[in-house]
Amino acid sequence: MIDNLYLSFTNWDGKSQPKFVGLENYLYFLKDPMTYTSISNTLIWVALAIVIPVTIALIVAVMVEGRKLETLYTMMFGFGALSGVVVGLIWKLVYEPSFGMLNTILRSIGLSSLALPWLGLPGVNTYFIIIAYTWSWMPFPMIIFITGLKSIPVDIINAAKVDGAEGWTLFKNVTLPLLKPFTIVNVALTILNTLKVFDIIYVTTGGGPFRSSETLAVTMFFDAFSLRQYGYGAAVGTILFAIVVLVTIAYLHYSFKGEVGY
Amino acid sequence: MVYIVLLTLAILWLLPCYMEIITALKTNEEFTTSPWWILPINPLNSLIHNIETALREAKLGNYLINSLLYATIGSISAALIASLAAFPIARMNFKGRDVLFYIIMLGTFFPYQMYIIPLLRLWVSLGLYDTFFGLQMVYIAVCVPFLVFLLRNYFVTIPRDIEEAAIMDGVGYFGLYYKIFMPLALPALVTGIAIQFVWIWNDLLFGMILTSSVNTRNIMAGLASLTGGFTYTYSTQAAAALLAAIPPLTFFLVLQKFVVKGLLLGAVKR
Repeated sequence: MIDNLYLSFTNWDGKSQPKFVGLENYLYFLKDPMTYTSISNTLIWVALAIVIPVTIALIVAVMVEGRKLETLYTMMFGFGALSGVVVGLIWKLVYEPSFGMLNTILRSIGLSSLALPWLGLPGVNTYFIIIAYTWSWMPFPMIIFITGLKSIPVDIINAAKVDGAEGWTLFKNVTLPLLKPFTIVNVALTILNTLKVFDIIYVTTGGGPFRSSETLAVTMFFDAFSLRQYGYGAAVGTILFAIVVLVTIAYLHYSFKGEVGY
Repeated sequence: MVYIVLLTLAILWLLPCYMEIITALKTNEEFTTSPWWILPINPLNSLIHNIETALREAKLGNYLINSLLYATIGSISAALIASLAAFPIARMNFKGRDVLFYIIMLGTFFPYQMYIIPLLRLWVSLGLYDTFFGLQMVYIAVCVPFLVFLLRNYFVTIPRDIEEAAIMDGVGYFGLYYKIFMPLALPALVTGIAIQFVWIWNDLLFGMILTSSVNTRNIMAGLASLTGGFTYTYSTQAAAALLAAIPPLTFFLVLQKFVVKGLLLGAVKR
C-alpha cells in the first residue's frame, strides 16, 4: 500500500526503474477529461445502486416475508453467487442488438425504433449495466431485510396493531425504524461493493465505446494495464481508496448517531 | 394483488436465466434465425457441441481445473490460518489485541485496485508472476481477514462454561482450540469456506493481472477472454458461462441457510 502511494508519485511503465515525478499524476488526473466521465459514472453507479436495488429489496422483503413465495425468492439469492463475468455474459445476451431479448420484445410490441444497441450508446450504457447489476445484487439486501423482518418481535407489531396502526402507517412508524440496523448494513455494503464493481463493466462494454462507461475502478485498470501507465494507475487507485474510506467513515458516523434499540 | 406483483417480479428476474440457458442449448444458426423464446430443436446435441468447443478450443477445461484447485486449496487453508488467529483474539487477553483485530478487519475494506499494482511489481521481482503458487498466495491472503472476522464473531458466542470445564479437565490452550472450539465452530467454518470458495472462483481481477498462461489462469479470466472479438459464438459463450456458474450456484443453494447466517455474522454488529 505504501508502495502504491510511492508509485503514484512516479511515472513507472512496468519495465524501467520508477522515476519520481511528484504530484504530476494527480495533476494529470484533474486535467484529464476522462476523469470527469469516470467520476460522474462512479457517482451515478453509487447513487442508483443505493436507491434501486435496496429499495426493491425492501419492498420485496416486506411483501414476501411469511408468504409461500418466500422460498422462491430466497432461491434468487443464488444470483448473488454468480460472478460478475457470468452476469455480464448473461446480460450481453439480453442486450444483444439484433437477437437479444430486450430488442426482440421491443420490436414485437411495435417499438422497433427503440430497439437500439443499448450497450454501444455513450451516456446511456452505464444505466443499462446498472440494471444488470441490480439484477444480480438485489437478492442480497433482500435476504438481509427478510432476516431483519423475522427478528422483529411479534409483540411489537401486535401492540402497534392494537393501537390502531396498519398498512402504510404500521410500516412507516414501526417496521422501518426497527429495520434501521439492517438498512445501514445494506446501504454500507452496497456502496462498498459498487465502488469495487469491475467485472460486469469489463465483460459487457469493456469501459467503452470511447471509454464512456468507465468507473474509477475500470479507469484504473485501463490506465495501468492496457496503457502501461502504472504510476498513473496507482494514483487513480489511491484516489479510489480515499473515496472508499471517506464514504465509509461518513456513513457510519452519520447513521450510528441515531441507533434504535429493541 | 401482492401475489401478482411478486410473480411478475420473479418472472422478470428469471427471464435472463431462461435466455442464457436456452442459448446454451442452441446451435449458432438457431440463435441467429429463431427468436429467443423458441425452444431448440436438438438441445442435447447443441449443448454438447457448445461445451466441447468451449473446453477444447478456448482451453476452458484447463481453467476450470485451475480454478477448482485455487478455490479448494485457498478457502480451506485460509480458514485454518484465520481460525488460528481468531481464537486468541476471541479468547485470550494480551496487549494490543483489539488494535490487532481492527488492523485485520481493515483488510476487508481496502479496494483491490489500491494494492494490485505494487503487488504485481513485487510478484514480478520475486518471480511469482504467472505461477500457480503466486496467485494461490494472493487468494489466501485476501480471504484471511474476512474469515478472521467471521470466526472471531462466532468464537465469542461460545459459552465460557464449556471453556472453563475443559480447562478444569486439564486441556491446554491448543487443546482448547483444537478439541473444543474447532468442532463447535464447524457451521461457521463450513460457511466461511463456502463463501470464500465462491469468492475465489468468481475472481476476475487478480487472475487476469497476475497470470497469463494456460496452466495458471483461472476460469473467470478465461471466460472474460471469450467475449472479446468474434472468435466464439454467443452459444459457446452461454454454454461456457453455464459451466462456470454451476459450482457457486450449487454451493449457495445447498448451504443457503448457513451462508446467510454467516454473512450476517460477518456484517451485522449485535
